Amino acid sequence: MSSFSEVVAMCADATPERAGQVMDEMGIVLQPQPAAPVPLKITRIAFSGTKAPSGADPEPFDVDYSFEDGLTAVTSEKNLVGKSTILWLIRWALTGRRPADLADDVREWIEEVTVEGVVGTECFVVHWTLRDGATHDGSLTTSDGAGSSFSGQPGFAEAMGAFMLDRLRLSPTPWWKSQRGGSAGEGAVSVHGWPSYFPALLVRGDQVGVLLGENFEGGQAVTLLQVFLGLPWALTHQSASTVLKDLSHKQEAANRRARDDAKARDTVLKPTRDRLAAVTRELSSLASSPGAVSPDDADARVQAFATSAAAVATAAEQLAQAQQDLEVARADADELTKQLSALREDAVIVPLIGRVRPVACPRCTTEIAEERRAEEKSGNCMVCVVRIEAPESEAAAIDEEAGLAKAAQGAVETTIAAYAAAKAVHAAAVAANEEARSNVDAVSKAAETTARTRALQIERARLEGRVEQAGTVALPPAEEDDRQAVIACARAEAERRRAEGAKNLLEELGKEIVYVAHRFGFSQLEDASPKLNASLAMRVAGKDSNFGRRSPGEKLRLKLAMVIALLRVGERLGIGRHPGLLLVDSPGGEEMVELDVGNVLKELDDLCKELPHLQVVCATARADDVRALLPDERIIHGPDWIEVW
Amino acid sequence: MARVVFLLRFCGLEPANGAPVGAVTEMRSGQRLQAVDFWMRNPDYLADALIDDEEADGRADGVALAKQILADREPQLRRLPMTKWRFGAWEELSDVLAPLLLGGLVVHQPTVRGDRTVAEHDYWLMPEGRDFIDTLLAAEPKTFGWYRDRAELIATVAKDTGGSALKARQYKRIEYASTAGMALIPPITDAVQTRLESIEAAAA
Repeated sequence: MSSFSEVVAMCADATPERAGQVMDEMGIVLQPQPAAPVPLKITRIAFSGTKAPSGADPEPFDVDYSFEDGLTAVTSEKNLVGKSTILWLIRWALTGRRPADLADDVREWIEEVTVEGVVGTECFVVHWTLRDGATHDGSLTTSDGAGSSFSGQPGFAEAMGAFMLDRLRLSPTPWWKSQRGGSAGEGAVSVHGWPSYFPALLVRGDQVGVLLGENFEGGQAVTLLQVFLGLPWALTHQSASTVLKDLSHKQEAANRRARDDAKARDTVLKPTRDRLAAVTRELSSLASSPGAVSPDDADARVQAFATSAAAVATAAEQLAQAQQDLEVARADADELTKQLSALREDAVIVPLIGRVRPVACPRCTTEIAEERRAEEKSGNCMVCVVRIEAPESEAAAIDEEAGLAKAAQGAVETTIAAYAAAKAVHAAAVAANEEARSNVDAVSKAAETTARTRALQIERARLEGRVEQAGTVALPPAEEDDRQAVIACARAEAERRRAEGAKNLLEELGKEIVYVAHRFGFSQLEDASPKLNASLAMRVAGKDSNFGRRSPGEKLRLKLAMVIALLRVGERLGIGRHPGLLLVDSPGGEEMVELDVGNVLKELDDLCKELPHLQVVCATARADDVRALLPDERIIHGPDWIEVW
Repeated sequence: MARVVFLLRFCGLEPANGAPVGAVTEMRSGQRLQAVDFWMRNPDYLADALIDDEEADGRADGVALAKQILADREPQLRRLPMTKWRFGAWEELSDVLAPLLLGGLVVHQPTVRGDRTVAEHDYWLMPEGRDFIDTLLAAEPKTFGWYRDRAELIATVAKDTGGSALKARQYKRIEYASTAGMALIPPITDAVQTRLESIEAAAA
């Protein structure tokens, strides 16, 4: 047979390690078989104080009673004279909680209480003092030497809860406490501890509504049945059910919060979304309007204009430089050309003039005399008689000057080319600038549209940011994880195993209930089928019936039969968890006129003899019946049989 | 020297009575010679005068000729600036004329007043001078051809107008008139260029 974890893992499609890890994390208690039952008995109760009934003198009292195994009756002929007090003080001692049923005046009289008992093989003493009817301080002492003192009710309840759960080897049972008035699934995880278990030890004539325990709260009867029946896997099933409800609840709560949050967010964001849609529409319409220039494009155009204007300035500067260079080169060339022309002229004129024969003095126009003319033959000037040197040839100078002029002209050509290039660059820059200017003009014309577009783009970015922001802070829905599957499988498997273990058990329990109920005088009960949900189907006088439809007397007998049957089945099959202490209060109360209390007591007494672990303390006003049945040492009563104390 | 002989040759007039025997041309008054010399030395002023003539319906080719003068960059290549004296552009020509007079190429006759100051200088180009010019043209046709052409062109502008009237005409140009005494008369090339452009623009 596969282990529990393996079966759960296979069912949940997880590894056994993961299944085990989830169950461990979620606090699923794997309890195949509960521990063996531990018997609990009360051996003594003592209490003292001062009785102060109205209209009477205060009178101290000091009561001390011992209990044996088996049936003990607490009786008085009058009601409200202390018989129930014994039971409620035992309850107070065992739970640490003051029972609500304890009459106000009575508890105010009591000053000190001591209850002694045995749990398993360990004797214990609970002692506490009272102030104004409430726990003042006290102590719990055990034969093992362990002990604790406490003050106030919380300390008392804590001490007794821990002690009893531990010694009776009971585990706290988690359960899902539904929220009153909440929707399905609303609630919280709670825990049934010792105070919840205690009602299984109690049968009250005035409260017979449920088969086991005192009331319906929290499925108390179901829990008590499962705990005290000692069903295998019951605790596992219960814890898995509770965890599953908790997980579902948390998931649903998270989902609901996410839904509410999303809805609220949608409502809050609606104006933003609407505005965003409108802005987007307007932007798209602006973009397609004639002559539209997008803001980015407008920026680019203005930038391009600035760049081209700068380029024009640079080109103009370079052009001016080129022009200046050209002017300089031209001036140089012009000068050389002029000089060359002059040289060429001189080269012709000077020799020619030199050959002219003077006719008269240029100063006074007197004709030149013949003897002066003869001077020329000697190589002298006929005017001033100075030696005439043959004129130097100008050819070399002309060639040199021509070379220079040519070079200068070449420089001019080069500069002209540079100037032309600069001019072309400048023209291109001017043209580009003109184009950029017309582009910028288009920007200017579309300025209003562009400005509107820019404003809308900024608004759109802001709106989108807002929507996106809302998305990032939104509550996420609950994440699906494998835990629910694992826990659900654990619950199913625990339920299957529990049902298997319960099959014969419930059948046996039903037979015992019929047997015991017959002995309590419910002779028409033919068949009883207890269910794990603490319901009890039955056949009475050939007709199908159930617990809820029976009379109070029959219910009381069935409740007694249920506890006794639990003990008998447990005894016989070696299972069951009931500690064997049964407190029965007023079985023959006013509503139980039809009940044969004497017969019930007799049968309780007989059952006690059959079951060595059973101890019954029964409080009843039917003193006659008690006296007819029980020896005096088994009866707790007052000196006059009217009042207990 | 070339300038003066070409101006005497082509801007001179028919010799009048009293001229030396055989004179080819007559340049009556040195003032006229200075005026035509100014136009030869300042092609931009000549271009301006040509435009004036066309605008005054005096001729049809003035603007085209002016345009050509500027296109050939003559104001830059041919300009020989003149100093403005008390009565306008003037330059001492004695050194240039001396060898011409010495060789009998040119004859000079000053008209002397009673106070022995010279009222007027008159010049005649003699056949030897004409031969000299022909020799120059034969030796360097390109170099001296320009002087011939330019002197002939100036003659079409100066016509037979006297020296004083020509000077008065040149004074009408504000740049000329406003030049301080003993300063170089500035070029007006840019102004003429602008003038031509506006004429072209108006024609277009």
